[in-house]
Amino acid sequence: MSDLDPTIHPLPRLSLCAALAAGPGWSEFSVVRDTTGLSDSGLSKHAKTLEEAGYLAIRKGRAGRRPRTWLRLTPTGRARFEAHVAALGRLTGAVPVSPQGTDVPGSRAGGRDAAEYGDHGTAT
Amino acid sequence: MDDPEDGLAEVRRQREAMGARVRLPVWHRVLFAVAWTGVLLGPLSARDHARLGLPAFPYWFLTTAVLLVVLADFRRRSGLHLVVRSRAYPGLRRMVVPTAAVVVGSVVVVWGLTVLHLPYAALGCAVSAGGLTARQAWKVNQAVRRDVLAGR
Repeated sequence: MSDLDPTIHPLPRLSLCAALAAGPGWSEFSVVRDTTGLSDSGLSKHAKTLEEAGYLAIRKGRAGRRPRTWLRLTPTGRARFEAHVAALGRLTGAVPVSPQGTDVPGSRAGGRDAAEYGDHGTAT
Repeated sequence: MDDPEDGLAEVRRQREAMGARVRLPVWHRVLFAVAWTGVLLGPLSARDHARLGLPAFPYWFLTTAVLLVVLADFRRRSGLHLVVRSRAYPGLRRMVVPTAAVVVGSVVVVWGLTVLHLPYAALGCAVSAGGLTARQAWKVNQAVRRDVLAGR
């Protein structure tokens, strides 16, 4: 179990990371809440834990007059999440979570995120 | 969580949930095609509406407003900001050039025919271009959705 990341391993945080990893980059708080099924307070708590670990960035802003919060995985967070999923796959002896028949996900940490992250800065 | 199968199932479930948000419903595609066709026909309807037997009406304004609402609705449902924040999906990147070609090409052809005073040709091309552009938008949507489901 040594490859499993203890920060990501609890199911709510795994859900949160999985939703953000599949999402479009910065995802709105309400979108992540609805997708994961977590409560507002639960999502805030787990997001804070992941943020403190450097896995997640939080940005606050406004859409029109309404306050909004966006979340996204940091490159480190994405890399750790993908390593965690790969470790889960090894434990089950299956090629993990690939409905298209492709291999273990693992290419975005240095690609998509690295390219996107510079534009958006870090957590607030 | 002790069972790794549960963890993998949860990852799969989140990807499917995000993928479902990205999927365009049929009515969305139809409305997009109609609105885009209307936008393409805007100059023609403003100038030749009498010749086409249409009452005077700000068709261009209306169809542009509908198109913006359709695009905003997709952005709200999916969380995708296709121009800026979500461009790095590999499927989306692959589709940039053909999509730009379809959009720009349809504008050039339809508005060119309008300028050349060929209203019926412009009308026919606009309808075809509306369908073609909606099909292209659907292909982009499918490509992004495949990336989401595959964890790319």
